[in-house]
Amino acid sequence: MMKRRLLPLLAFIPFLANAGGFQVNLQGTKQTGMGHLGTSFYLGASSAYFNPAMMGMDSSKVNIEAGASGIIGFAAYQNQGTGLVERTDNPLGTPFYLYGTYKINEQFTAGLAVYTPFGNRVAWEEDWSGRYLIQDISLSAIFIQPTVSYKVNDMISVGAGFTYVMGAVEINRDLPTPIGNDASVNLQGDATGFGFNAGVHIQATDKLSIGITHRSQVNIQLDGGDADFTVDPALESSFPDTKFDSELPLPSTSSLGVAYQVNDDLLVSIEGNFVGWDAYESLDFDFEEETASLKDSENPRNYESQLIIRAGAQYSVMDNLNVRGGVYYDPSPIKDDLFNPETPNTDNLGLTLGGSYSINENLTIDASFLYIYGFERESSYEPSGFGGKYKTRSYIPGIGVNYKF
Amino acid sequence: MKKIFNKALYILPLAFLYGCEPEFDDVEFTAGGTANFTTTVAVGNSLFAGFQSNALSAEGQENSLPNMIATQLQQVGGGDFKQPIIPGNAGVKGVGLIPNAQLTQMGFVLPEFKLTYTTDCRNVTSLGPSLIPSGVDANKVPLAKYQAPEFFNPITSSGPYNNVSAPGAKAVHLGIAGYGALNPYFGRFGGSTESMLSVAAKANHTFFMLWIGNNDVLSYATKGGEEGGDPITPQATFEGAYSGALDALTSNGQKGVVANVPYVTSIPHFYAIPNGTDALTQSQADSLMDPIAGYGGYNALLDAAVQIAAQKPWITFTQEEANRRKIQFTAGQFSGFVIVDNDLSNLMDTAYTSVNPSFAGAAKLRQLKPGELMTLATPTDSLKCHKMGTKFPLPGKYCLTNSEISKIISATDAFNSFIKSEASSRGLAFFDANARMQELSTTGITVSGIGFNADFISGGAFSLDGVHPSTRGYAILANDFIDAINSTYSANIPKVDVASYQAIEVTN
Repeated sequence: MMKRRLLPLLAFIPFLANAGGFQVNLQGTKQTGMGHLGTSFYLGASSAYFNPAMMGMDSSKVNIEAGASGIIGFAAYQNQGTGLVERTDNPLGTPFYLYGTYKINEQFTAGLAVYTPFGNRVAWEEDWSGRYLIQDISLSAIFIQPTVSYKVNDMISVGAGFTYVMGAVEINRDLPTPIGNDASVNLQGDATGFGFNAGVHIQATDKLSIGITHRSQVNIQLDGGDADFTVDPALESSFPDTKFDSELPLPSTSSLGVAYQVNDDLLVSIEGNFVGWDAYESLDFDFEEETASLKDSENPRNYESQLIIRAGAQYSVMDNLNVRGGVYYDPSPIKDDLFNPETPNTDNLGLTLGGSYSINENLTIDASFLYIYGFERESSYEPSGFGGKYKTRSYIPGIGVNYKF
Repeated sequence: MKKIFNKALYILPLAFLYGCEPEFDDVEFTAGGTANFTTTVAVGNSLFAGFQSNALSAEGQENSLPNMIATQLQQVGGGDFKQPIIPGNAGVKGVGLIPNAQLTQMGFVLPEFKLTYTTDCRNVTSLGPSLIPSGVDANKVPLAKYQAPEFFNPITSSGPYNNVSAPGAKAVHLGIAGYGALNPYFGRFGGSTESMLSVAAKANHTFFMLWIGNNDVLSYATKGGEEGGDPITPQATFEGAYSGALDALTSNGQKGVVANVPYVTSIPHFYAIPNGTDALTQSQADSLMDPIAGYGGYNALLDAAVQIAAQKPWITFTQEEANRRKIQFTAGQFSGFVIVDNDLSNLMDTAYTSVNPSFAGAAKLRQLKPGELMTLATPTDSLKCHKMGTKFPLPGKYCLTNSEISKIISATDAFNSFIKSEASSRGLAFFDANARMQELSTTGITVSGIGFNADFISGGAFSLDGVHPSTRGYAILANDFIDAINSTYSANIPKVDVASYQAIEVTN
């Protein structure tokens, strides 16, 4: 059976869901070090993502940032009836980002951002008890965003970008056929979508700044994916290999942040991100060829929108060394009765540390470490009669470089 | 110093990764304290013996419902659970008595059903349960091949056994001394002089499981109701036998769990074969409806009988009955099979034959109505190719009429109300197996992403005989029994993982 090749690049970026739902908040190593906040103050070219209004705030002409993180993520499941504990065996996730800004004049700055704000990589241990719901899933999405910012006056800047999204998904799960014990299905395909990212930055006083952004919802549309069934020969006509269409909403995020420059060395900030998860109502598969056994499937999700609260600080130890720390609370958008182990997302507490060292005027190296503590929850996916306790932990080191001239 | 530093660099990341996976507090499983699970005995019929796909096999016994439960009880202090395991035998995996087995045929056995491809009389090949591997002509397999008396070698001396369950046992059989002479499944481990209850007593149980009463109504049903010659156990007899069994099993104050009787009319055994046909051609239908040689003549006689009865006050034959009996076969449309229904009026009475001699041939015929059932024992080749159910009436042993179904339902309801009252008055755990069966056959049951319903084979819950659960079906029931025990005795006995049991495989 020929499998359609994924975009080779996409195949390399599997993530564990480490933020609410399948959001991945690791879009800048500096920001990650201080609780992943950056809506209201400038930290480099990564503002193309965090708040496009701020792109022109540095005196340099060209500003380039690149970085990546390594997600070491664990999820565990405990069945309260059998006592059985099962775990994920996730490969290392490696989300990345690449930003460049070019200052055209005092008012206008152009930028390009490439980042990966959504993804999901969960591989449960082989033959685990939930294999009829999910064995493993790999969802990845790359956002490419040309951006422009405009400085209205000394107080107000605005910016906006258009996002083109390339996504890829692969799902493996076992099929509970009444005949045979080795039935499974592999679903995979590529998807695309469009959206935008817009922001306003207000320098209210010398010390106080405010940022407001809105990253739109992106519906990634998957057309003509491959559904490959492995079933007993007796059932092959019931489960023909076929094509499928699907759609996945990547939710909007509206952010409001406030930063306060306490003194020359210390900056503190808080912000809230409202994530419009309620757009994710159902994961549907529309099969091209249907049979009595293989019907279009509608799988309710009914996520609930959530507010992420973040707080962080940056302290300048020396002229060329900054240290950062932060914390955030990221409640899960998933209801207790529709919790599917394909996205084992708990209420998460993130604790972060980070730092930047400037080698010279042009080059800075950033590092961060994020620890995510997932609060234990007892939930089930009622339509499938599968539930228990879930717990997650993630350990995410990140590194970035910053070059400007 | 530098060395230590290097070592630290090497060890620190390891120390960091150690314990970085999330851990849970263990689920606390407990016997609870109000029941003593040290020694469990199970008493029942095929559903407790581990019967599946028309046979009892060692593999089926390993996956027997009481063994699944006892294995879970062992995690909260339960002891060994010894079963009278059937010996293995090349070529014949399990033991199913040949149909209508008599004592003289003890030792003739049939292998369990296999799921395999068979070709029917119309040369259509399909997947279904079969006794004989594909490629073998069933008529040419000598019965001697299945003569396997070693299955029934006595193993009484290896007792006591904890699973005292015998396929075919009814509630009324439990107390019969010498039942082993009537039921070879029991005789092989129970001997020929004891009763099932006296054999159970040898285990010195502290806890018991009892599921009995199914065959008191099932045997009537699978043999086609009235025509089968295996009547439903009368209520008073059932009650006496049931409370007698509970008296024996609780004689030392033991606790236990009982289950009621599911409506047997919900099992796939009665739904696998449709009760009519839509495959008639125009010429076949015309021939069947011929006004002289076919049912056209019969229908005319019925109308004539109404006229005759109207003039003779001492006999009754209404137009309503005539309409109910009229037979209609239409090409391409679904038409019920023809049966002989002994509840219908006798038209061979001289009141009719004296008027018209044709009544001498008027049998008590009608067509099956929606809701009337066919047993899985019906020979489908006879239906498809030999006009059984169309030109020739379907023998009554292959179907259940509405009046037989009503008897089954009302007898089951009466059994169940007695079982429930006994369970509650004696403080026993009670599993409402009938409610669970109704759930399965209406909404279906979903466990760990596996959907189950009561459909034959494709429903997943039943084995290939359409009567006994599949291994996964038994696993669901094991958890239901455990739920009942847990809630009555404040215990928390661990459940089984239904998804870890195997589904049926195709045998090529």
